[in-house]
Amino acid sequence: MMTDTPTPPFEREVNRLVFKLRLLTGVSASLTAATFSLFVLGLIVLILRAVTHGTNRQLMMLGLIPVFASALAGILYAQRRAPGSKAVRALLDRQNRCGGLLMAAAQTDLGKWRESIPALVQPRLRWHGRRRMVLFSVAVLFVAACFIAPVQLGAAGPDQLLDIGKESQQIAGDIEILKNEEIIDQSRVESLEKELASIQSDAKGEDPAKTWEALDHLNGDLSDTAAAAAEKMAQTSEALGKAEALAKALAEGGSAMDSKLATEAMKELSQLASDAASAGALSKDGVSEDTLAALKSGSLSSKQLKELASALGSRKGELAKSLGTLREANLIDLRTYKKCEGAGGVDSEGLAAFLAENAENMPVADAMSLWGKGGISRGRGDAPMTWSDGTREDGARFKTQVIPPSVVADLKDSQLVGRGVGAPSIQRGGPATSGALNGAASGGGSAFTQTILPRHKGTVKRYFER
Amino acid sequence: MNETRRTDAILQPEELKPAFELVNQAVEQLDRVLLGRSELHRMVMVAILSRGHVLLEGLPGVGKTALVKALGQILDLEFKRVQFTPDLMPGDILGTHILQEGGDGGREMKFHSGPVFTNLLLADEINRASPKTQSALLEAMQEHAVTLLGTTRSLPNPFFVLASQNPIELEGTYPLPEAQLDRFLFKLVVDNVDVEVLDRIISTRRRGEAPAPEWKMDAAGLNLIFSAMDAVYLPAPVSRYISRLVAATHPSSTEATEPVRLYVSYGASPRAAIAIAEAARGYALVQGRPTVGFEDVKAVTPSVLNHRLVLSYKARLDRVDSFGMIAGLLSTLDETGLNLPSDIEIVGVSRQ
Repeated sequence: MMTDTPTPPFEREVNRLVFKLRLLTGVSASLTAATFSLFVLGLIVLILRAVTHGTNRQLMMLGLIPVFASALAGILYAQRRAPGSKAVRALLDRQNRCGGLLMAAAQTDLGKWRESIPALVQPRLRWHGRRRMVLFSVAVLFVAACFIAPVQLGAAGPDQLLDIGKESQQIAGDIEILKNEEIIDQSRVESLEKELASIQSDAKGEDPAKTWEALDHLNGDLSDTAAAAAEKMAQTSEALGKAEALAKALAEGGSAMDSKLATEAMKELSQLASDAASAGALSKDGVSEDTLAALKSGSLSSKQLKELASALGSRKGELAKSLGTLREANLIDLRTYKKCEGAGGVDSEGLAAFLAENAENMPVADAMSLWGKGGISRGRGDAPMTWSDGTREDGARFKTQVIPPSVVADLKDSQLVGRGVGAPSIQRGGPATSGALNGAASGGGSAFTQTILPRHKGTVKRYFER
Repeated sequence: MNETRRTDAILQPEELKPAFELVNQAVEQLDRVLLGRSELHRMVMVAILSRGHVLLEGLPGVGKTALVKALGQILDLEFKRVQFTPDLMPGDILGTHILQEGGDGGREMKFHSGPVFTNLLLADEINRASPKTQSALLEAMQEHAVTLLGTTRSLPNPFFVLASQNPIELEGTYPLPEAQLDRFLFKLVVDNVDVEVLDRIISTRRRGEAPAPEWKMDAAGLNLIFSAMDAVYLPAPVSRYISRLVAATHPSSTEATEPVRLYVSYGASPRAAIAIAEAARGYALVQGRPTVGFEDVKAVTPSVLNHRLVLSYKARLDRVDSFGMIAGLLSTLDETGLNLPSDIEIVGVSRQ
């Protein structure tokens, strides 16, 4: 019969320990459940991303709800599995040596014995949760990795689109560059863009090699176009360089030239400039109408020559800039770029001197084509040869090789016959004077043909029987 | 003490005290008569409180008979002794019918009761009698009655059998059958006493004769301690622990220890669980407590179980005894049945 009395202190201790045990059990079980759910969620996310081609990540985040639900279920399960107050009471009774009084208090009224229950001391609890925590952390990282990992890591099915966004974007950029640099016209641009769109729409996981092949082909087409344009730019630049050099030579040294040479040079300049203008290499923006008219008539003044030289140089610079753009976009390789970059570099003073020296022997046009390609201007045949700096051994490494001492091997079998202070005398080897091989010559195969005397046969026989 | 009291309430201190004092006094008297056997006396007293029979095992001359004699004197109970020998017959213990001529000249079979009709029967060297004679005690020990020629006669109340036996290894002995062993509440091993006690015996007692008890318990006292014993409270977790403990002695039990699985052929019977519960109550009373705790169970379990486990031949070969196995069970089995998850551990009492 329980009396209606306030809760005694020992009951509070019992409830406290029950709560602590349930809390620990709950945490432990929920961690286990959440870890398992996270691993399952990670796998599901991976599969879904592979199937849906990486879309619906937000939707997949909803998968965290079951994780929380399973953790909650773990807690609820643990509450059912956690020790009940009866077992906890028994534990406290044993630990505090109550002799069964504390256990009996749950079933009956202790009466006066209630006062004899000692102040209860809680047992110390230890949770070995490190392994569970580590597993949980691994599961969290696994799920994060499943959300973040590139979708290419997943297996692509035959009906799925191939992700070629990055490659398509690069090719579209290349087309834009070629268009901006006026290397390809609008119709070609449209054609290329149409081709790219077609590749994008046909990019299926069923046959990825076909898509990659088409992309490579388009890429190669663009590179070839760019290389051809670069080659043309180099040629134009070369022509512009010559014209620029000739214009500068006429502007700076025209007064020193005789009239015939100056006229021929002017005529050649006019031709070069006309070629450049017809090829679109010489814009009208940089050259005045008077200058162009004077160029046609071959009566350019010094000022007009300078103006023309400046315009030609400016155009050359534009071509160099275009080359740089193509290189930056990786449309031309480094070798082509270096080759084209050096085109058009002409020494105007050298050209003037060359023309002055050789114009009497050949037309200016021929002299212009020969200039810069070597020839008799380099000097006579008996001119002293010039050498560049000799080869240096700094930084060079040589492999050490030991030469076998062949002489020592021969000396090993030699015998000392005596010492003398005079010059050594050479004695020819003669036949042996004693023994079984008496008379045999060394190295002559005598050992095989030598006759063995009967008195030596026993010795030889014993030797072979040994 | 009425029935309602037994199940619903526990003894209050003022009710427990007289019984505790009486029990203590009885134990003190035993200690005074027989030197150096305090724990044995305590366990015999527990058996008396539990109304159980006791089997005392020990070599001759260690004081088994003297203990039972002293107990009979202290409890002031009728005491009889039967010396068991190989030629002892059941009738020598139970009694027999003798054809006698009556006063009217007629003849009739008249029953002459045997020594079993007493309160305290000392069955000395019980394992020297044949199994047939040993079995004569089965009904008497369990039913407290004797049936002869179709007539059942009740034995005096209380009735205790305190048997002594020599170790089985000695020649001319018959091992007690399992059924009879199971009827003994305790099997107590009486060891030799140490040098100090021997010195006290020979220096204080002429020819080793024990002094007569100075105090005797009367019938009212006996009734009082039996009533108190009935009111000792057995909490549910302790009862559960006893059940698990006995179940764990069976090799097929989920809580059985490895030695039990290996060496035990048959575990303890339900009677053993009842015996542990009763003995634990008695032990709590001897300790002066109104409730049974785990420590009471642990104190009495070896004496209750050691003769009830049937060990296999492998145990004999490996020299494994039942005491070691019971000790292993007691140390392994968690009394509280908390069944905590493996990652939660109770490391001890925190002093906050």
